[in-house]
Amino acid sequence: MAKILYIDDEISALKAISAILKKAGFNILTATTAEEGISLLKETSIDCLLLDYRLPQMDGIELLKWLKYSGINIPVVMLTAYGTIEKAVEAMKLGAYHYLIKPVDTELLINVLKEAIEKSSMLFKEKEKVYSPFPEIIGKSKAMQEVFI
Amino acid sequence: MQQMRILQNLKNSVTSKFLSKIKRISIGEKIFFAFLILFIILILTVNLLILNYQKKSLKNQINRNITTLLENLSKDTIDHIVFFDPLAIDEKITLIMGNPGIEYIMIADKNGRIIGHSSKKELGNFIKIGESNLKRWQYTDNEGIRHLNIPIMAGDTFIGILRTGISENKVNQYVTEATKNLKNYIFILSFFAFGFTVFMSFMLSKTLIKPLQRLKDRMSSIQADKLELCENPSTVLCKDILNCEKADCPAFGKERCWLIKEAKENCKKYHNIDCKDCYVYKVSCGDEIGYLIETFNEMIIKLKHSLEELDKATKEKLKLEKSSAMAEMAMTVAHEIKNPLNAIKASTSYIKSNFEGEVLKEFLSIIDKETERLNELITSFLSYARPVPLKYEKANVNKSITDVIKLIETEVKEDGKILKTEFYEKIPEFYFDSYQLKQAILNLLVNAIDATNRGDTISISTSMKESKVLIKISDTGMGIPDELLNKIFEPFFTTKTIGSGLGLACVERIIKDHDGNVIVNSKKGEGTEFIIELPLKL
Repeated sequence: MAKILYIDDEISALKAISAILKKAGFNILTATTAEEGISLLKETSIDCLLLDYRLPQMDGIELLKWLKYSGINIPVVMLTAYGTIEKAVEAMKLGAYHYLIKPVDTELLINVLKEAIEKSSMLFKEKEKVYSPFPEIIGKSKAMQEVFI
Repeated sequence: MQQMRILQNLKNSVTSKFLSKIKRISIGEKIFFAFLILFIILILTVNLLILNYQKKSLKNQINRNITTLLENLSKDTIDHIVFFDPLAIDEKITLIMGNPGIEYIMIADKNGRIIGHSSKKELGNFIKIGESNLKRWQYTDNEGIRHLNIPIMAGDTFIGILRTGISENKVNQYVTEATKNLKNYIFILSFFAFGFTVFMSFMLSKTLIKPLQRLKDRMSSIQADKLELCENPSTVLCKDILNCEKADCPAFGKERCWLIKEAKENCKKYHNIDCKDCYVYKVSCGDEIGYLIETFNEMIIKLKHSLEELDKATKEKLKLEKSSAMAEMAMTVAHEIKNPLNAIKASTSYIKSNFEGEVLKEFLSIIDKETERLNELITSFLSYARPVPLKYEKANVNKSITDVIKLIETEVKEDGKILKTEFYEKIPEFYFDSYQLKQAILNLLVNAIDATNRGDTISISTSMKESKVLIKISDTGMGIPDELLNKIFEPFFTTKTIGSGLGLACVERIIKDHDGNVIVNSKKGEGTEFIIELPLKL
């Protein structure tokens, strides 16, 4: 069961969307601030992050930056009420997987999340392949790893 | 001293009063009176000179005549004196006495006996013959009579004297009598000339004043905030006379083209005409007043243009201010509304998929529909407030319109309205933002649908004019009242009960972004016509 972390400061949206996603078969963790989200990210492994753009104090974009900086590689689906191209481009540049505009269509949301998780796991597997192209031949010493990776 | 100063002051005040009075009278009157006075002075001087000259020459003529007659008489009477023939002498005297100005004629023999006299009583009397009588002399007495003494000589021998009295008064009287007719003639001629001068100076002042008067009228209308051109009916334009189609010439469609240097060169090059020989110059080149009027016209045109620009700029600025204030507001409002909408939508979606019940489903769909409506409204606010930059792509405009028509076709048919299309197929593919143009056309079509009833017609046509593509969307609906026509493109202006009032504002913005133009023609009760003009960017 895929584990999703949903961060949104709107309690009612948080409740409703969590319920829908739970029903759709996801394991949902929720947070109302980015800081709360970060501590959850540190504690547990998450398959996908559903992130609101506007959050109190640290906002969605800053959290994306933090993820990139921390090297945490999970797909992020952004949610926002600002339907502008600039914001979308900004989010995509920082590594967001998708960008959805509020009010969000629940079916679309579920599909996007599934797709995100699927693609990221595929990507992870491919990366594994790239990281060890000849696992049998090449040693696991640090120097050898550096040459090939 | 004191008196003199007072007198001087009085004189100064009278002069200044007179001058200020002259200053105030109109130019036309000034010209009229100046002409009249000049003419009267001229006529008077000329008449007096002519009359005087005529009198003088007549007088001289008479005097010369008398002298000649007397000379002749002195010679003719020699025989009569020698042979003593007083009758013949008398006859001759009577003959000469008929001439004007002669007071008396007397002929005496060498002894002083009067043998001929105009006054018969004097005959036989003696006058004193002295040395002085042997010479020719004359003197004028107190009564103005000039006495002339001529000695009569037969060869070298003195045989008698001829004495005459010429009355200056009588001569003058005769001259006055004789020139009386001339005076009358001159008076009549002067009278006619005076009339003619009055007429001429009146006409002249009128011709000079008329254009100035027109200029003055126009200037007065400026004071009344009306900018009007001062028409000059005699002016012709070079583009009409020379059939010139050089629209980039600086003088194209302008008056006084000969003053523009480049135009002068152009004319020489293309029409082989020198300005001085040109019909346009000959007809249009007026005097200084004409030049003044043209300069005035140019000033008015420039002023009008500047005012229009200013007006436009102010409107644009207001619009921009309104837009930017709106942009900020829309962003905030959109965010604040979309978040709760998100929760509502998610909640209804959850309830829908987890609970059963007809009534529940029905009311949930109402919530869904209204949420969607609110969302659309907010989205249109946002899209107007934050315009998306154009994405130019080469495309077929007819195809784009057909795509839009597909969206509304069913609705139009279901409502019992007629949809007519007429595409000009020869429009080449050109650069425009197909997505945004479709949006604009859709907005116009939605408006047309809202404005029409069953049986009305909605027509869409495309055409090309010069380097412009025209898209015409017209309907036979309710039309727009005149007083609202200039408001319809303003943001938030709407006459509908539903709608954001941003549809037409968006249309205008999209078309303006394309460097195009939207024209609206409408008549209340007859229908509305929107014409989109797009530049053909190939």
